[in-house]
Amino acid sequence: MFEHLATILWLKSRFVRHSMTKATGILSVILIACVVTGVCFVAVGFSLGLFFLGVFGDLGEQDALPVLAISDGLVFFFCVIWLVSILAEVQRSDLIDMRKLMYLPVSLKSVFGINFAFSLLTPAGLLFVFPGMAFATGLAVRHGPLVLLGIPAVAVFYLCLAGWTYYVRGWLAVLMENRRRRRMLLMMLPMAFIAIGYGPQLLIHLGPRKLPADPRTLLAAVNVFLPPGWLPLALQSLVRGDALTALACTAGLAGLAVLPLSMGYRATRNHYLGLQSRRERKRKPEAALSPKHPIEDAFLARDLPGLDEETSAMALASFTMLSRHPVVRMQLIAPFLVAAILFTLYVVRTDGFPNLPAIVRNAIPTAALAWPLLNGSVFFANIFGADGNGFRSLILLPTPRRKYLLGKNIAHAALFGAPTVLFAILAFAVVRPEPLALLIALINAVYALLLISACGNLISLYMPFKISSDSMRGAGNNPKAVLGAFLFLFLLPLVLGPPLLCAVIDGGLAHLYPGWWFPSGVLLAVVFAGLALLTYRKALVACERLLAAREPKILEAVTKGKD
Amino acid sequence: MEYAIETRQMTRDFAALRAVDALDLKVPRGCFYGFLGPNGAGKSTTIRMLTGLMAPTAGAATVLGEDMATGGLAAKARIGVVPEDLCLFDNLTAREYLIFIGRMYRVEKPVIAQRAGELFALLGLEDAEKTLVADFSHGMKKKLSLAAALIHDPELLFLDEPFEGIDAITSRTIRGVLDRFVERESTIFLTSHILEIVEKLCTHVGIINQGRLVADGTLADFARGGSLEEAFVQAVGRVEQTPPTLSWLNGAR
Repeated sequence: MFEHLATILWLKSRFVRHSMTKATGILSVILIACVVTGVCFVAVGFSLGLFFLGVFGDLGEQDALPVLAISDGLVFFFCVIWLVSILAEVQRSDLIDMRKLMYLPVSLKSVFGINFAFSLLTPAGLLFVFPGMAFATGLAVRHGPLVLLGIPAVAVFYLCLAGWTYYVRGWLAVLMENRRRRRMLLMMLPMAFIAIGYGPQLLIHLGPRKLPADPRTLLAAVNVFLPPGWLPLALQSLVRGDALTALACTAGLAGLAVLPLSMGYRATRNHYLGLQSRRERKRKPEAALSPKHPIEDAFLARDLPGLDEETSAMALASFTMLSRHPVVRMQLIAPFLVAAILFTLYVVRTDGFPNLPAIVRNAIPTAALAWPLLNGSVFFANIFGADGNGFRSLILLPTPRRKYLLGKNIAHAALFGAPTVLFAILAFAVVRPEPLALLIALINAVYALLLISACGNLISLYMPFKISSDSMRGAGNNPKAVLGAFLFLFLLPLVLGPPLLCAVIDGGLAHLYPGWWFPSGVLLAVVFAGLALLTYRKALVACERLLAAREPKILEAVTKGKD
Repeated sequence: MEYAIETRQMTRDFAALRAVDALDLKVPRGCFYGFLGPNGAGKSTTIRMLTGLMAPTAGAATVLGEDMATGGLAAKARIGVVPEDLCLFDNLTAREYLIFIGRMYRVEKPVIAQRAGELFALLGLEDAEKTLVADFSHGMKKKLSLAAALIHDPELLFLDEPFEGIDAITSRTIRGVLDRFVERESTIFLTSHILEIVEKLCTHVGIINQGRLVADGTLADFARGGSLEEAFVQAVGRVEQTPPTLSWLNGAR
C-alpha cells in the first residue's frame, strides 16, 4: 500500500516538473519559483497581520461584530482566489487519470484519496488556512482558550470547500470525457465565472439603493443562511463565549465536507467500473432516430447565389465547422456578454449619454464594429488554423486554391459579420446618432470585412498555427500566434481609420459650413468599400499562388502537436 | 508499359535524415501494389510525395501521367487517398464530410447521395452518419476516410495502413471492394505492416528499407523464393538464425 502511495506521489511530482519545464524551460521554472515565494510571503504576512489584529484589536465589541466582518472578508477573499484557481485547475492536463491506473494492482480508494490530498495543496489554501488559524490563535490570546476551537473550524471549512471542489472537478472530468462537451465546458466556464464575478456588482447597481435599517441584521442573516458564513459565525460565537453555536457550525461544515467526498467516491467508482447510477438505470432508452433526410436537402449541399460548386461547398463547410467550434462560439457570445454588463452598469444608471457631442455620437456605430472583429481576429488571421488534420484533405483535393480562400472568407464574414452589424445597430440604438450614421456603419462593415479578410489571408499564409480544438491552451504559447495576433491588432486601427473619417466628415463639414446638407460620409464610405473590393480581388489572386506554394508548411503548422 | 506511378530518383531529406533515397518506382496500371517496409523505412513519406502532400527534395514523380510538380491538381482529381494521419474535419458529421468531399470533386448531388448511402451501408457507418467526426473512434475515422477516398470513383487509390483499427468483418468487406476496384482496371497503392494482407490482396510488391527500394516484382516472383515473409526479412537484411528473446523467459516459472 505504502509503495503505491509513494509511487503515485512520485508520478504526480513528475507531472508537475514536466508541466513546469516543457513550456518555456528555465524561465518557466523561475517564474513559478517567484510566484511560490510571493504566495508564501503574502501568506506569512497575512497570518502575522491577522494574528496581531486578533491579539491587539478591539474585536469583541458590539457582540463581536468586527470578528464576523473580518472573517467574512477572509472567506470572501478566499472564495475569489479559489474561483480563479479552480478555473486554471480545470484546464490543467496533469491530473492523474484514474483509468490509466485501474490496470495496475492499486485500489481506487487509494488513488481517490491521494488525488484529494493533492487537491488540498493549493496557493488558495495557503492564503486561507494559515491566516485563518493565525486569526483564531490571536483571538484566543485576547479572548481566552475557548476560541482555539476556531482552529479546527478553519480546517473543516477548508476541507469542506476542497471536498466540493473535488466533487465538482470529478463531475466535470466525467462530463469532459466527451471531447465536444469538454471543449464546450472549457469555453463556457470562463464566461460563467465572468458572470458570477459581475453578479454582486450588478445586484448593487440594479438592486435597492438603500440598505436595511440595521446592516448587522442583514450580515447575521447572510451568515446563518449561507454555509460559507458558518465559519465567521463560529469565530464570532467563540469570542462571545458561545461554544455550542460554534460547534454546531463546525459540525455543519464537517457534514458538508463528508457529503461531496462520499458522493464523489461513489460517482468515481461507478464511472470507472462502468456501474450505472440509480438515475441512469431509470432512464428510458432513446427514441429511434428520426427518418433520414435526402442529402440534397442538407445545408452543405446548398448552392450559394453567384458562387460556383466548390466555393459554395467550402464556404458552407467552413461555416458549419466554425459555428461548432467552441472558441468561435465564445468569441461570438463574449462581446454581447460584456456589452450587456457595461450597458447595465453604466448606460442604465446614466440614462444613456446625454452630453455626448454629435460628432462623437455619429462615430460610435462605426467604432463599435471593431469589437466583434477583434474577437474574431484569431480566426481571420489564421483561416486554416482550426482545420487541423482536415487541411490535409484540402491539399489532396483538385480544387483551385483561390476557392478555398474565398469560401473561407465568406464563412468568416458570415459568422463575424453578423455580430458586427448587430453591434453597430445596438450602438446606434444606445447613443441615438443621426440616421445616416447607421447606413455609414453598415457600408463600413462591408469595407472592414473585405480588408480584414485580405490582410487575414496574407497573415494566415505566412504565420499559420494550430487552433486547439478544446481550450485556449497551446495557442497562447505559440510565438507565431502571438505575432500574428499583434500584427492583426496593429492592422485593425489602420483598417478602421478611413471608416471613422466617413462617420465624422458630415459633422465636421456642417461645423465648418453651416447648412451643409450633402451626405458626403455615405458617398465616401461607398468609395472606400469599392476600393476595398478591388484590393480584395487583387490580393486573392496573389494569395492563391502563395497558398499553393506554402501548403506543406501550413499543413505542418496546423497539424503540429496534440489536440 | 503504361505506369500509374513512376518516380525518378525521388529523394526526401529531413535535416540530416534521408527518409527516401533516390527512389525509382514503377507501378503498372491496373495492379494492386503492396509497398512494404519496416517502421521508419520511408513508406508514408513516399505516399506523401506521390499525393502532393510533400514536395521531394530531389527527383520527380509522375502520377497517372501527370508530373506532380506541375500537374498536381489534374492528378489529384483522379486519385483517392487514405493517409496514415487521417484527413478529416472534426467539426463536420460523417454525412456532411462526404457531401463536402463529393462537391469538391464536382460529383453530382444525386450521385453523392447514392454513393454515400452505399458507402455508409457497406462500411457499417449507417448509424453514425449524423455523428460528428470528433466523436468517432479511430476505426470509424479510417472507414470514413476510405469512403471519402472512393466517393469520386478514382482511377488510383493510395492506402496508407488502411486496415489498422478495422474489425475483421469490415476488413473482409473492404478487401472485397478493393478486389472489385482493381478488376475495373483501376490501380491501388497500399502500404501495410501485415504481410498476410499484402499476400492475399496484392499482385505486385515493392519493399523499401532505409529509403531505398530493395526489392520489386510481382507476387508470383516473391512466391517462387518461398513465403513473402522470408523474402521481406531477407530484403531488409535482418536474417537471424535464432530470434532474440528475454533472459527471464529462458527457465521454468
